[in-house]
Amino acid sequence: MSETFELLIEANSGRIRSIARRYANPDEVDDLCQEISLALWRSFARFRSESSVETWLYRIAFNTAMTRVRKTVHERKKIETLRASQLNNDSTPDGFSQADILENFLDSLNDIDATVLMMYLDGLTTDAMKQVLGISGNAINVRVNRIKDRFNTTYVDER
Amino acid sequence: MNLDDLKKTWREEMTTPIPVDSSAFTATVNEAKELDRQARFGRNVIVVLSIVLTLLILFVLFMIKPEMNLLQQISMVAMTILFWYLSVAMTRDLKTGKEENWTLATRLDIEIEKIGNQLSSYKSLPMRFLLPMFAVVVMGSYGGYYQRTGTLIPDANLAFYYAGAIVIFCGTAWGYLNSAKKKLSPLLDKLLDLRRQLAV
Repeated sequence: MSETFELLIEANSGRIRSIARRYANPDEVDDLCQEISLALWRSFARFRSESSVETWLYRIAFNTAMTRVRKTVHERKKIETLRASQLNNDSTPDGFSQADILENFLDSLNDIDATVLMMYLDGLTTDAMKQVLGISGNAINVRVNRIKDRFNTTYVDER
Repeated sequence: MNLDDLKKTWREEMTTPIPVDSSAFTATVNEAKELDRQARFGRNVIVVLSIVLTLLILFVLFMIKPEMNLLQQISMVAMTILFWYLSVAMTRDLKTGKEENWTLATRLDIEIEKIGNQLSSYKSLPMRFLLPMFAVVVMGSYGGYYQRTGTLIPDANLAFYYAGAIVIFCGTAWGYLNSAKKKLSPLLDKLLDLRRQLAV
């Protein structure tokens, strides 16, 4: 592994792991991290800084996580079941830390809305999100507003 | 509290460095390279086999001109055509799947097309490849049997050989159809669902 790439992976290890945690079973997170790193490595030679590192990384990571063939469907069913049971148990946010609320809220969203939320919270611009998702800026803004409304309804209005 | 308050929490999680095991990663990279190499090798073997088979058949038919009945001649040509069909299909499969740098929408479209093609290949392979191959095997062996014995009714050995061929054909066909149903179809549904989510 080249030194530059190794540094890049180390600097973004938290980001990669957070994305992997969202899309893999707890015991498969390491595997997905490896798969994302591998996809980044394959794409690294063609990365010419036309977009920011974060945009490039999110694009590759989401593509890998959402379209990987190995065990995908079986895993996803288990994750969805796990999430549903957790959401039922943790329906009230009172007494939860912000990290818990964030995790709970991310789990309640569908895959695409969760990707938008992750990038929004990471400070990516609408234009950068367009480069990752391939949908219009208007569609992204509508989605962000919808997510904000949902958050307010669930965690703000009810309190 | 509003959604923007969670930005700090998210960024803390993002910027928390996690030790990266370089050796495990290097092993994964090497494994991926090995799988790519094996896939290319498999394709090359089929291509070389097709070329050799074609040349051999041309040589046998036009230079040696052996006494072969029509069934044997047809089965030889048909087997060559089937190998070429397999070579082209394997080469086409190797061309896809390496590029990662797409937007999610494009990548999903590519995967949907790829998995869709794979699914229809898996569903049609028993009829398009296995059944013709089975017919070729039956024709070739029956032609040879007739030439050797001069009788039309297969003996016990040939009947046993055909029974074995039927079992292998059915088992392979079942394997492909089962993979299509249990693995590819649910995956395609999932990808289509993601594409729908993206469009809403």
